Amino acid sequence: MPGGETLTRFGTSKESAARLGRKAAEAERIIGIHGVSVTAGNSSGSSASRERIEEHFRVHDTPTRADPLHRTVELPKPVTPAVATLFNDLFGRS
Amino acid sequence: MSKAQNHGCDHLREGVGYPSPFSKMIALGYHDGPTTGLLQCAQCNQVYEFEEVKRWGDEWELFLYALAPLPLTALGDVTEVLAPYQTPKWPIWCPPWQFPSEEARACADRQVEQILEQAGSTEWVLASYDLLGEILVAQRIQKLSDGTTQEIAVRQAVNDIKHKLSVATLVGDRLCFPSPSHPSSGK
Repeated sequence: MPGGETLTRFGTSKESAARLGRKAAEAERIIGIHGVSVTAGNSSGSSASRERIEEHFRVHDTPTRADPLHRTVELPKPVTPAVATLFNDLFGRS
Repeated sequence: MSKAQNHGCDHLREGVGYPSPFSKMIALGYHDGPTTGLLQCAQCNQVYEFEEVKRWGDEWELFLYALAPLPLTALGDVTEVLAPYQTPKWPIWCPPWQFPSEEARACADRQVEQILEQAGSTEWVLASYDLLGEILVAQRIQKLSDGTTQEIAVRQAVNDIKHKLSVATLVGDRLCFPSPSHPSSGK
């Protein structure tokens, strides 16, 4: 059940608003959603429950052949420093 | 199916900082950028299977990819397999792996696998932020000598690229490489 998922994002360092904005813009161009990648599969990085993320951001199921559990966390445009701080906090990145 | 026997793309060359010859991509994996899939050269139509082998940089945005040649028809063949379920979108198509039934998914998976199984040995390792934009560094895989496995050859090419990137300097948002005649290049 999607609500019970744990979402993992590559890396453990805090991400800047600029980086999140760049990656979100690239995803919008390629997969049609202004957002960044996470996976509900087993992966290293920083994790948070989908339920917790969805309190603040929309999460889309965006399966690929390589990762059927790929998800995209939709970010607002523009990605402001406040959005980046919230995103980092949710994934425990400080 | 037999492995790809074509002679490779004439428009890829060892070097740094040149426009990508590729104009079309199917991304079969995506994680903050395409991670695996197929690429086609705009000029000679050569198709490669690409796969991320490493990420580089302070913010992990530079991808290093291994490229293995596929038959010239491969990108069209994969498009044909998936087109009944998804609408192709160019120049980069990242088809959502969603199908009307488990049977349709298994069938598409099998057909795509059969196409990718035709890939030859890895010929290139490329560093790029955008495979359809600019090739930052391209390193040809050396012919395998006795005792050298494909994996070791790719690892060697990755190390060579990492060395080239380590002597590059960031000017604005562009990486600049020392010219070959520059004393610090070691040549």
